[in-house]
Amino acid sequence: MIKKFEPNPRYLWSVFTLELRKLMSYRVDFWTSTLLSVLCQIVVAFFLWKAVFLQIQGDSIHGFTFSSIVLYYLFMPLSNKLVRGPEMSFIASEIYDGSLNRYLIFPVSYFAYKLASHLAYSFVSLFQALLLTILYITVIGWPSEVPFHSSSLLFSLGAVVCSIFLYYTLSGAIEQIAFWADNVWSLLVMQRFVLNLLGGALIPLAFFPTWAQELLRYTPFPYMVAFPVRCLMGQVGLQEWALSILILCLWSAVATVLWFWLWRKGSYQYAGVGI
Amino acid sequence: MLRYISLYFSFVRFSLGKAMEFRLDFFFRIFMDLAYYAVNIAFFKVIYLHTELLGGWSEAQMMVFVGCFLVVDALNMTVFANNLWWFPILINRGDLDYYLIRPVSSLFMLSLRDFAGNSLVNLVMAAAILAWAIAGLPEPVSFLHIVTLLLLLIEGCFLYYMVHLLTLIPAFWMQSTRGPDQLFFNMIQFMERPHTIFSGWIRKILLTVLPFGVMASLPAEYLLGEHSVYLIVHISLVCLAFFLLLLFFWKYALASYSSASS
Repeated sequence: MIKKFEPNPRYLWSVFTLELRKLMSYRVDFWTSTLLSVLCQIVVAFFLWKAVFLQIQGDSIHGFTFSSIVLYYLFMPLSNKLVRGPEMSFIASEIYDGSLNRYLIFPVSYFAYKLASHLAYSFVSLFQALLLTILYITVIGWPSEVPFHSSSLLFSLGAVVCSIFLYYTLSGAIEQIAFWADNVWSLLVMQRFVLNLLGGALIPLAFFPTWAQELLRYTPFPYMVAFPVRCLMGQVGLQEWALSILILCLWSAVATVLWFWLWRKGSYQYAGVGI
Repeated sequence: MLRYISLYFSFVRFSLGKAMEFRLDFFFRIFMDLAYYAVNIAFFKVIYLHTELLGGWSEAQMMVFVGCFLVVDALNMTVFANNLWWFPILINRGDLDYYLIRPVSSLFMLSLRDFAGNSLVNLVMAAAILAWAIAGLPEPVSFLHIVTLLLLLIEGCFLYYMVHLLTLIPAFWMQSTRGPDQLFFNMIQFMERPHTIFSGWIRKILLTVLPFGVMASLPAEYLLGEHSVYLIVHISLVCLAFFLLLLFFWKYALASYSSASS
Protein backbone atom coordinates (compact mmCIF):
# COMPACT_ATOMS: atom_id res chain seq x y z
CA MET A 1 0.00 0.00 0.00
CA ILE A 2 1.35 3.47 -0.89
CA LYS A 3 1.07 5.97 1.96
CA LYS A 4 -0.30 9.48 1.59
CA PHE A 5 1.74 12.55 2.55
CA GLU A 6 1.49 12.70 6.37
CA PRO A 7 4.28 14.89 7.69
CA ASN A 8 4.98 13.61 11.19
CA PRO A 9 7.70 15.94 12.57
CA ARG A 10 9.15 13.30 14.91
CA TYR A 11 9.74 10.75 12.13
CA LEU A 12 10.98 13.39 9.73
CA TRP A 13 13.48 14.59 12.33
CA SER A 14 14.73 11.00 12.68
CA VAL A 15 15.21 10.72 8.91
CA PHE A 16 16.97 14.09 8.84
CA THR A 17 19.43 13.17 11.61
CA LEU A 18 19.98 9.69 10.17
CA GLU A 19 20.91 11.24 6.82
CA LEU A 20 23.22 13.72 8.55
CA ARG A 21 25.05 10.86 10.28
CA LYS A 22 25.39 9.04 6.95
CA LEU A 23 26.87 12.13 5.32
CA MET A 24 29.27 12.67 8.18
CA SER A 25 30.57 9.10 7.89
CA TYR A 26 31.97 9.96 4.42
CA ARG A 27 33.42 13.33 5.42
CA VAL A 28 36.51 13.23 3.21
CA ASP A 29 34.46 12.38 0.12
CA PHE A 30 31.93 15.07 0.90
CA TRP A 31 34.46 17.82 1.50
CA THR A 32 36.80 16.97 -1.36
CA SER A 33 33.96 16.80 -3.88
CA THR A 34 32.75 20.29 -2.86
CA LEU A 35 36.22 21.83 -2.68
CA LEU A 36 37.34 20.40 -6.01
CA SER A 37 34.15 21.38 -7.79
CA VAL A 38 34.34 24.97 -6.46
CA LEU A 39 38.07 25.24 -7.16
CA CYS A 40 37.87 23.98 -10.76
CA GLN A 41 34.85 26.14 -11.55
CA ILE A 42 36.39 29.29 -10.11
CA VAL A 43 39.77 28.79 -11.86
CA VAL A 44 38.10 28.20 -15.25
CA ALA A 45 35.76 31.18 -14.73
CA PHE A 46 38.67 33.39 -13.63
CA PHE A 47 40.62 32.79 -16.85
CA LEU A 48 37.59 32.81 -19.14
CA TRP A 49 36.29 36.15 -17.87
CA LYS A 50 39.78 37.61 -17.69
CA ALA A 51 40.04 36.89 -21.43
CA VAL A 52 36.62 38.52 -22.02
CA PHE A 53 37.39 41.60 -19.91
CA LEU A 54 40.70 42.06 -21.76
CA GLN A 55 38.71 42.57 -24.96
CA ILE A 56 36.03 44.99 -23.83
CA GLN A 57 36.10 48.75 -23.39
CA GLY A 58 35.27 49.68 -19.78
CA ASP A 59 35.24 47.97 -16.42
CA SER A 60 31.90 46.21 -16.43
CA ILE A 61 29.50 44.19 -18.57
CA HIS A 62 25.82 44.28 -17.65
CA GLY A 63 26.66 45.46 -14.14
CA PHE A 64 29.31 42.80 -13.53
CA THR A 65 32.90 43.86 -12.87
CA PHE A 66 35.64 41.24 -13.10
CA SER A 67 35.76 40.72 -9.31
CA SER A 68 31.99 40.53 -8.99
CA ILE A 69 31.76 37.91 -11.73
CA VAL A 70 34.42 35.80 -9.99
CA LEU A 71 32.35 36.08 -6.80
CA TYR A 72 29.29 34.95 -8.80
CA TYR A 73 31.18 31.80 -9.85
CA LEU A 74 32.13 31.14 -6.22
CA PHE A 75 28.51 31.33 -5.08
CA MET A 76 27.14 29.40 -8.06
CA PRO A 77 28.48 25.88 -7.26
CA LEU A 78 27.81 26.42 -3.55
CA SER A 79 24.22 27.44 -4.22
CA ASN A 80 23.81 24.55 -6.66
CA LYS A 81 24.94 22.10 -4.01
CA LEU A 82 22.53 23.62 -1.52
CA VAL A 83 19.55 23.52 -3.87
CA ARG A 84 20.23 20.24 -5.62
CA GLY A 85 21.19 18.30 -2.51
CA PRO A 86 22.36 14.83 -3.51
CA GLU A 87 21.50 15.71 -7.18
CA MET A 88 18.94 12.92 -7.30
CA SER A 89 16.78 11.17 -4.75
CA PHE A 90 17.56 7.68 -6.15
CA ILE A 91 13.83 7.20 -6.74
CA ALA A 92 14.56 5.88 -10.24
CA SER A 93 17.10 3.28 -9.08
CA GLU A 94 14.82 2.18 -6.21
CA ILE A 95 11.97 1.65 -8.65
CA TYR A 96 14.31 -0.16 -11.05
CA ASP A 97 15.76 -2.64 -8.54
CA GLY A 98 12.63 -3.01 -6.41
CA SER A 99 14.19 -1.54 -3.26
CA LEU A 100 11.30 0.93 -3.12
CA ASN A 101 9.46 -1.85 -1.23
CA ARG A 102 11.20 -1.16 2.07
CA TYR A 103 9.90 2.45 2.17
CA LEU A 104 6.34 1.20 1.95
CA ILE A 105 6.51 -0.21 5.47
CA PHE A 106 8.10 2.94 6.97
CA PRO A 107 5.79 5.01 9.19
CA VAL A 108 6.34 8.07 7.00
CA SER A 109 5.39 8.83 3.40
CA TYR A 110 7.96 8.36 0.66
CA PHE A 111 7.66 12.02 -0.41
CA ALA A 112 8.39 13.24 3.12
CA TYR A 113 11.18 10.71 3.70
CA LYS A 114 13.06 11.78 0.57
CA LEU A 115 12.44 15.46 1.27
CA ALA A 116 13.92 15.09 4.77
CA SER A 117 17.00 13.33 3.27
CA HIS A 118 17.35 16.12 0.72
CA LEU A 119 17.13 18.78 3.45
CA ALA A 120 19.84 17.04 5.49
CA TYR A 121 22.19 17.22 2.51
CA SER A 122 21.30 20.87 1.95
CA PHE A 123 21.91 21.63 5.63
CA VAL A 124 25.47 20.29 5.47
CA SER A 125 25.99 22.15 2.17
CA LEU A 126 24.87 25.38 3.86
CA PHE A 127 27.55 24.88 6.49
CA GLN A 128 30.15 24.27 3.75
CA ALA A 129 28.98 27.33 1.81
CA LEU A 130 29.36 29.53 4.89
CA LEU A 131 32.88 28.27 5.62
CA LEU A 132 34.08 28.62 2.02
CA THR A 133 32.58 32.11 1.71
CA ILE A 134 34.30 33.22 4.91
CA LEU A 135 37.57 31.74 3.62
CA TYR A 136 37.18 33.54 0.27
CA ILE A 137 36.39 36.89 1.93
CA THR A 138 39.36 36.52 4.28
CA VAL A 139 41.83 35.67 1.49
CA ILE A 140 40.50 37.63 -1.53
CA GLY A 141 38.05 40.08 0.06
CA TRP A 142 34.49 41.11 -0.76
CA PRO A 143 34.39 43.32 -3.91
CA SER A 144 33.56 46.91 -2.94
CA GLU A 145 31.17 47.29 -5.89
CA VAL A 146 28.95 44.43 -4.67
CA PRO A 147 26.50 45.79 -2.08
CA PHE A 148 25.93 43.61 0.95
CA HIS A 149 22.98 44.19 3.28
CA SER A 150 21.38 41.93 5.83
CA SER A 151 18.26 42.03 3.62
CA SER A 152 20.31 40.39 0.81
CA LEU A 153 21.08 37.48 3.11
CA LEU A 154 17.42 37.13 4.15
CA PHE A 155 16.20 37.34 0.53
CA SER A 156 18.75 34.72 -0.46
CA LEU A 157 17.81 32.33 2.36
CA GLY A 158 14.11 32.63 1.45
CA ALA A 159 14.96 31.99 -2.21
CA VAL A 160 17.07 28.94 -1.32
CA VAL A 161 14.30 27.33 0.74
CA CYS A 162 11.75 27.75 -2.08
CA SER A 163 14.29 26.64 -4.74
CA ILE A 164 15.10 23.45 -2.80
CA PHE A 165 11.43 22.49 -2.77
CA LEU A 166 10.98 23.25 -6.49
CA TYR A 167 14.11 21.30 -7.45
CA TYR A 168 13.14 18.37 -5.25
CA THR A 169 9.61 18.06 -6.68
CA LEU A 170 10.61 18.64 -10.30
CA SER A 171 13.56 16.22 -10.37
CA GLY A 172 11.54 13.70 -8.33
CA ALA A 173 8.78 13.86 -10.95
CA ILE A 174 11.33 13.20 -13.71
CA GLU A 175 12.78 10.28 -11.74
CA GLN A 176 9.35 8.68 -11.51
CA ILE A 177 9.36 8.14 -15.27
CA ALA A 178 11.32 5.05 -14.15
CA PHE A 179 7.92 3.44 -13.39
CA TRP A 180 7.52 3.13 -17.16
CA ALA A 181 11.08 3.29 -18.56
CA ASP A 182 14.08 1.08 -17.74
CA ASN A 183 16.68 3.71 -17.14
CA VAL A 184 16.17 7.44 -16.72
CA TRP A 185 19.49 8.74 -15.45
CA SER A 186 20.10 10.26 -18.88
CA LEU A 187 16.98 12.43 -18.39
CA LEU A 188 18.42 13.72 -15.11
CA VAL A 189 21.75 14.51 -16.75
CA MET A 190 19.85 16.32 -19.51
CA GLN A 191 17.95 18.28 -16.86
CA ARG A 192 21.28 19.30 -15.32
CA PHE A 193 22.67 20.52 -18.67
CA VAL A 194 19.53 22.57 -19.35
CA LEU A 195 19.46 23.98 -15.81
CA ASN A 196 23.11 24.98 -16.01
CA LEU A 197 22.59 27.01 -19.16
CA LEU A 198 19.06 28.36 -18.76
CA GLY A 199 19.37 28.78 -15.01
CA GLY A 200 22.46 30.96 -15.23
CA ALA A 201 25.11 28.61 -13.82
CA LEU A 202 27.31 28.72 -16.92
CA ILE A 203 26.80 32.42 -17.71
CA PRO A 204 24.85 35.04 -15.73
CA LEU A 205 21.45 35.50 -17.36
CA ALA A 206 22.13 39.25 -17.73
CA PHE A 207 24.45 38.31 -20.62
CA PHE A 208 21.62 36.66 -22.56
CA PRO A 209 19.70 38.61 -25.23
CA THR A 210 16.81 40.62 -23.76
CA TRP A 211 14.14 38.47 -25.43
CA ALA A 212 15.67 35.33 -23.87
CA GLN A 213 15.79 36.94 -20.42
CA GLU A 214 12.13 37.95 -20.69
CA LEU A 215 11.15 34.44 -21.75
CA LEU A 216 13.20 32.73 -19.01
CA ARG A 217 11.56 34.87 -16.28
CA TYR A 218 8.43 32.73 -16.59
CA THR A 219 10.20 29.38 -16.62
CA PRO A 220 11.35 27.54 -13.46
CA PHE A 221 15.03 27.43 -14.49
CA PRO A 222 16.45 30.75 -13.19
CA TYR A 223 14.70 30.29 -9.83
CA MET A 224 16.48 27.01 -9.15
CA VAL A 225 19.95 28.31 -10.03
CA ALA A 226 20.77 32.02 -10.33
CA PHE A 227 18.00 33.56 -8.22
CA PRO A 228 19.48 32.80 -4.74
CA VAL A 229 22.94 34.01 -5.89
CA ARG A 230 21.53 37.22 -7.40
CA CYS A 231 19.71 37.89 -4.11
CA LEU A 232 22.92 37.43 -2.12
CA MET A 233 24.81 39.78 -4.43
CA GLY A 234 22.21 42.50 -3.89
CA GLN A 235 20.91 42.43 -7.46
CA VAL A 236 17.27 41.81 -6.49
CA GLY A 237 14.97 44.47 -5.01
CA LEU A 238 11.97 43.75 -2.78
CA GLN A 239 9.42 43.99 -5.61
CA GLU A 240 11.35 41.66 -7.93
CA TRP A 241 11.99 39.26 -5.05
CA ALA A 242 8.29 39.06 -4.15
CA LEU A 243 7.28 38.49 -7.78
CA SER A 244 10.00 35.83 -8.23
CA ILE A 245 8.92 34.02 -5.06
CA LEU A 246 5.35 34.03 -6.37
CA ILE A 247 6.46 32.47 -9.68
CA LEU A 248 8.62 29.98 -7.74
CA CYS A 249 5.63 28.97 -5.58
CA LEU A 250 3.41 28.56 -8.63
CA TRP A 251 5.98 26.28 -10.32
CA SER A 252 6.42 24.37 -7.04
CA ALA A 253 2.66 23.80 -6.88
CA VAL A 254 2.65 22.52 -10.48
CA ALA A 255 5.65 20.25 -9.80
CA THR A 256 4.09 18.90 -6.56
CA VAL A 257 0.81 18.07 -8.31
CA LEU A 258 2.83 16.36 -11.06
CA TRP A 259 4.89 14.43 -8.47
CA PHE A 260 1.81 13.01 -6.74
CA TRP A 261 -0.02 12.34 -10.01
CA LEU A 262 2.94 10.34 -11.35
CA TRP A 263 3.26 8.55 -8.01
CA ARG A 264 -0.40 7.49 -8.09
CA LYS A 265 -0.23 6.36 -11.72
CA GLY A 266 3.19 4.76 -11.29
CA SER A 267 2.23 2.78 -8.19
CA TYR A 268 -0.25 0.81 -10.32
CA GLN A 269 2.64 -0.08 -12.63
CA TYR A 270 5.06 -1.00 -9.87
CA ALA A 271 5.51 -4.75 -9.46
CA GLY A 272 7.85 -4.56 -6.47
CA VAL A 273 10.28 -7.12 -7.83
CA GLY A 274 12.67 -4.93 -9.76
CA ILE A 275 13.07 -4.92 -13.52
CA MET B 1 46.32 -8.15 -34.61
CA LEU B 2 43.65 -9.59 -36.94
CA ARG B 3 42.31 -11.63 -34.03
CA TYR B 4 41.89 -8.44 -31.97
CA ILE B 5 40.12 -6.63 -34.84
CA SER B 6 37.77 -9.55 -35.33
CA LEU B 7 37.14 -9.70 -31.57
CA TYR B 8 36.41 -5.98 -31.47
CA PHE B 9 33.80 -6.33 -34.23
CA SER B 10 32.16 -9.07 -32.19
CA PHE B 11 32.04 -6.67 -29.21
CA VAL B 12 30.41 -4.01 -31.42
CA ARG B 13 27.82 -6.46 -32.80
CA PHE B 14 26.92 -7.75 -29.36
CA SER B 15 26.75 -4.24 -27.82
CA LEU B 16 24.48 -2.92 -30.58
CA GLY B 17 22.10 -5.84 -30.12
CA LYS B 18 22.06 -5.25 -26.36
CA ALA B 19 21.46 -1.49 -26.76
CA MET B 20 18.43 -2.06 -28.96
CA GLU B 21 16.79 -4.11 -26.21
CA PHE B 22 16.38 -0.92 -24.16
CA ARG B 23 15.02 1.33 -26.90
CA LEU B 24 13.66 4.13 -24.73
CA ASP B 25 16.96 4.41 -22.86
CA PHE B 26 18.76 4.33 -26.22
CA PHE B 27 16.85 7.44 -27.37
CA PHE B 28 17.04 9.18 -23.98
CA ARG B 29 20.83 8.95 -24.19
CA ILE B 30 20.86 10.40 -27.70
CA PHE B 31 18.80 13.37 -26.48
CA MET B 32 21.07 13.76 -23.44
CA ASP B 33 24.13 14.15 -25.66
CA LEU B 34 22.24 16.49 -27.98
CA ALA B 35 21.41 18.69 -24.98
CA TYR B 36 25.13 18.71 -24.09
CA TYR B 37 26.04 19.83 -27.63
CA ALA B 38 23.35 22.53 -27.70
CA VAL B 39 24.39 23.88 -24.29
CA ASN B 40 28.06 24.16 -25.30
CA ILE B 41 27.33 25.88 -28.60
CA ALA B 42 24.87 28.27 -26.91
CA PHE B 43 27.43 29.03 -24.17
CA PHE B 44 30.00 30.35 -26.64
CA LYS B 45 27.34 32.07 -28.78
CA VAL B 46 26.25 34.09 -25.70
CA ILE B 47 29.88 34.93 -24.80
CA TYR B 48 30.50 36.23 -28.32
CA LEU B 49 27.55 38.62 -28.00
CA HIS B 50 29.89 40.63 -25.77
CA THR B 51 33.32 40.18 -27.31
CA GLU B 52 34.78 39.65 -30.76
CA LEU B 53 37.76 37.60 -29.64
CA LEU B 54 38.25 35.09 -26.85
CA GLY B 55 41.78 33.89 -26.16
CA GLY B 56 42.70 35.23 -29.61
CA TRP B 57 40.02 33.22 -31.43
CA SER B 58 37.04 34.62 -33.33
CA GLU B 59 33.54 33.12 -33.03
CA ALA B 60 34.00 31.03 -36.21
CA GLN B 61 37.31 29.68 -34.88
CA MET B 62 35.78 28.98 -31.46
CA MET B 63 33.04 26.91 -33.11
CA VAL B 64 35.80 24.73 -34.63
CA PHE B 65 37.21 24.26 -31.13
CA VAL B 66 33.71 23.38 -29.84
CA GLY B 67 33.34 20.87 -32.70
CA CYS B 68 36.72 19.38 -31.75
CA PHE B 69 35.89 18.77 -28.10
CA LEU B 70 32.44 17.46 -28.97
CA VAL B 71 34.05 14.91 -31.32
CA VAL B 72 36.56 13.88 -28.63
CA ASP B 73 33.74 13.54 -26.09
CA ALA B 74 31.46 11.59 -28.48
CA LEU B 75 34.30 9.28 -29.50
CA ASN B 76 35.10 8.59 -25.86
CA MET B 77 31.42 8.03 -25.02
CA THR B 78 31.12 5.59 -27.93
CA VAL B 79 34.27 3.55 -27.41
CA PHE B 80 35.48 3.80 -23.80
CA ALA B 81 33.04 5.50 -21.38
CA ASN B 82 30.74 2.53 -20.59
CA ASN B 83 33.73 0.27 -19.96
CA LEU B 84 35.41 2.71 -17.61
CA TRP B 85 32.17 3.14 -15.67
CA TRP B 86 32.25 -0.58 -14.80
CA PHE B 87 35.99 -0.70 -14.18
CA PRO B 88 36.14 0.06 -10.38
CA ILE B 89 33.05 -2.10 -9.78
CA LEU B 90 34.71 -5.11 -11.43
CA ILE B 91 37.82 -4.68 -9.30
CA ASN B 92 35.94 -4.23 -6.00
CA ARG B 93 33.70 -7.23 -6.64
CA GLY B 94 36.62 -9.39 -7.72
CA ASP B 95 35.04 -9.86 -11.15
CA LEU B 96 38.30 -8.88 -12.80
CA ASP B 97 39.29 -12.56 -12.53
CA TYR B 98 37.10 -13.37 -15.52
CA TYR B 99 39.06 -10.91 -17.65
CA LEU B 100 42.48 -12.01 -16.48
CA ILE B 101 41.99 -15.63 -17.46
CA ARG B 102 40.94 -14.86 -21.05
CA PRO B 103 43.54 -15.45 -23.80
CA VAL B 104 43.60 -11.74 -24.81
CA SER B 105 45.04 -8.61 -23.26
CA SER B 106 43.03 -7.79 -20.11
CA LEU B 107 43.41 -4.05 -20.71
CA PHE B 108 42.04 -4.44 -24.26
CA MET B 109 39.06 -6.44 -23.05
CA LEU B 110 38.28 -4.15 -20.11
CA SER B 111 38.55 -0.96 -22.16
CA LEU B 112 36.72 -1.95 -25.33
CA ARG B 113 34.23 -4.67 -24.45
CA ASP B 114 31.17 -2.39 -24.36
CA PHE B 115 30.50 -0.25 -27.45
CA ALA B 116 27.83 2.47 -26.97
CA GLY B 117 25.60 2.30 -30.04
CA ASN B 118 23.55 5.37 -29.09
CA SER B 119 26.72 7.46 -28.82
CA LEU B 120 27.64 6.39 -32.34
CA VAL B 121 24.62 8.42 -33.50
CA ASN B 122 25.95 11.35 -31.44
CA LEU B 123 29.42 10.90 -32.88
CA VAL B 124 27.94 11.44 -36.34
CA MET B 125 26.21 14.59 -35.06
CA ALA B 126 29.38 15.89 -33.38
CA ALA B 127 31.30 15.30 -36.63
CA ALA B 128 28.56 17.21 -38.49
CA ILE B 129 28.96 20.13 -36.05
CA LEU B 130 32.72 20.10 -36.66
CA ALA B 131 32.19 20.02 -40.45
CA TRP B 132 29.70 22.91 -40.19
CA ALA B 133 32.21 24.90 -38.08
CA ILE B 134 35.07 24.25 -40.54
CA ALA B 135 32.83 25.29 -43.44
CA GLY B 136 32.14 28.56 -41.58
CA LEU B 137 35.84 29.54 -41.46
CA PRO B 138 36.71 32.51 -43.68
CA GLU B 139 39.74 30.70 -45.17
CA PRO B 140 39.33 27.34 -46.95
CA VAL B 141 40.98 24.35 -45.25
CA SER B 142 42.84 21.69 -47.21
CA PHE B 143 41.78 18.03 -47.13
CA LEU B 144 45.20 17.00 -45.76
CA HIS B 145 44.82 19.33 -42.78
CA ILE B 146 41.34 17.99 -42.06
CA VAL B 147 42.64 14.40 -42.11
CA THR B 148 45.51 15.42 -39.79
CA LEU B 149 43.00 17.12 -37.48
CA LEU B 150 40.91 13.94 -37.30
CA LEU B 151 44.00 11.87 -36.44
CA LEU B 152 44.93 14.38 -33.73
CA LEU B 153 41.39 14.19 -32.32
CA ILE B 154 41.66 10.38 -32.17
CA GLU B 155 44.90 10.87 -30.23
CA GLY B 156 43.06 13.39 -28.03
CA CYS B 157 40.34 10.85 -27.29
CA PHE B 158 42.93 8.19 -26.50
CA LEU B 159 44.58 10.64 -24.11
CA TYR B 160 41.18 11.36 -22.49
CA TYR B 161 40.71 7.63 -21.94
CA MET B 162 44.21 7.14 -20.53
CA VAL B 163 43.93 10.04 -18.05
CA HIS B 164 40.52 8.78 -16.93
CA LEU B 165 41.79 5.23 -16.50
CA LEU B 166 44.76 6.48 -14.49
CA THR B 167 42.33 8.12 -12.06
CA LEU B 168 40.46 4.80 -11.71
CA ILE B 169 43.47 2.52 -11.17
CA PRO B 170 43.59 3.43 -7.42
CA ALA B 171 40.50 1.14 -7.20
CA PHE B 172 43.02 -1.70 -6.77
CA TRP B 173 43.94 -0.29 -3.34
CA MET B 174 40.93 1.85 -2.37
CA GLN B 175 37.35 0.81 -1.61
CA SER B 176 35.93 3.68 -3.66
CA THR B 177 37.39 5.78 -6.48
CA ARG B 178 34.64 8.38 -6.23
CA GLY B 179 37.12 11.08 -5.18
CA PRO B 180 39.62 10.71 -8.09
CA ASP B 181 36.75 10.10 -10.52
CA GLN B 182 35.02 13.31 -9.42
CA LEU B 183 38.32 15.13 -9.71
CA PHE B 184 38.60 13.93 -13.31
CA PHE B 185 35.07 15.05 -14.22
CA ASN B 186 35.61 18.42 -12.55
CA MET B 187 38.81 18.86 -14.53
CA ILE B 188 37.02 18.11 -17.80
CA GLN B 189 35.93 21.76 -17.64
CA PHE B 190 39.52 22.60 -18.64
CA MET B 191 39.11 20.55 -21.83
CA GLU B 192 35.89 22.40 -22.66
CA ARG B 193 37.66 25.78 -22.75
CA PRO B 194 40.41 26.78 -25.21
CA HIS B 195 43.92 26.57 -23.77
CA THR B 196 44.60 30.05 -25.19
CA ILE B 197 42.59 31.69 -22.36
CA PHE B 198 44.88 30.23 -19.70
CA SER B 199 48.27 31.69 -18.88
CA GLY B 200 51.35 31.11 -16.72
CA TRP B 201 52.00 27.80 -14.96
CA ILE B 202 48.36 26.68 -15.22
CA ARG B 203 48.66 26.69 -19.02
CA LYS B 204 51.95 24.76 -18.85
CA ILE B 205 50.35 22.14 -16.58
CA LEU B 206 47.31 21.83 -18.88
CA LEU B 207 49.61 21.16 -21.84
CA THR B 208 51.79 18.57 -20.10
CA VAL B 209 51.13 16.77 -16.80
CA LEU B 210 47.35 17.29 -16.71
CA PRO B 211 46.88 17.35 -20.48
CA PHE B 212 43.29 18.63 -20.68
CA GLY B 213 44.45 21.39 -23.03
CA VAL B 214 46.03 18.81 -25.33
CA MET B 215 42.91 16.71 -25.96
CA ALA B 216 40.90 19.09 -28.17
CA SER B 217 42.36 22.56 -27.92
CA LEU B 218 45.78 21.80 -29.46
CA PRO B 219 44.26 19.91 -32.43
CA ALA B 220 41.99 22.95 -32.98
CA GLU B 221 45.02 25.24 -32.81
CA TYR B 222 46.73 23.06 -35.40
CA LEU B 223 43.88 23.64 -37.85
CA LEU B 224 43.33 27.31 -37.02
CA GLY B 225 46.99 28.32 -36.83
CA GLU B 226 50.03 27.67 -38.96
CA HIS B 227 49.47 23.88 -39.16
CA SER B 228 52.60 23.53 -37.08
CA VAL B 229 54.40 20.16 -37.05
CA TYR B 230 55.56 21.07 -33.55
CA LEU B 231 51.94 20.71 -32.34
CA ILE B 232 51.66 17.23 -33.90
CA VAL B 233 54.89 16.19 -32.17
CA HIS B 234 53.73 17.72 -28.86
CA ILE B 235 50.36 15.90 -28.89
CA SER B 236 52.00 12.61 -29.92
CA LEU B 237 54.70 12.85 -27.25
CA VAL B 238 52.18 13.56 -24.50
CA CYS B 239 50.12 10.57 -25.71
CA LEU B 240 53.17 8.32 -25.75
CA ALA B 241 54.23 9.45 -22.26
CA PHE B 242 50.76 8.72 -20.86
CA PHE B 243 50.60 5.37 -22.66
CA LEU B 244 53.88 4.27 -21.05
CA LEU B 245 52.71 5.59 -17.70
CA LEU B 246 49.44 3.69 -18.02
CA LEU B 247 51.20 0.42 -18.93
CA PHE B 248 53.54 0.81 -15.96
CA PHE B 249 50.72 1.50 -13.49
CA TRP B 250 48.53 -1.25 -14.97
CA LYS B 251 51.25 -3.88 -14.46
CA TYR B 252 51.98 -2.55 -10.98
CA ALA B 253 48.27 -2.57 -10.08
CA LEU B 254 47.69 -6.09 -11.42
CA ALA B 255 50.56 -7.31 -9.24
CA SER B 256 48.64 -5.97 -6.21
CA TYR B 257 45.32 -7.50 -7.24
CA SER B 258 44.17 -10.22 -4.86
CA SER B 259 40.88 -11.20 -6.47
CA ALA B 260 37.58 -10.99 -4.54
CA SER B 261 39.24 -9.81 -1.35
CA SER B 262 40.74 -6.80 -3.19
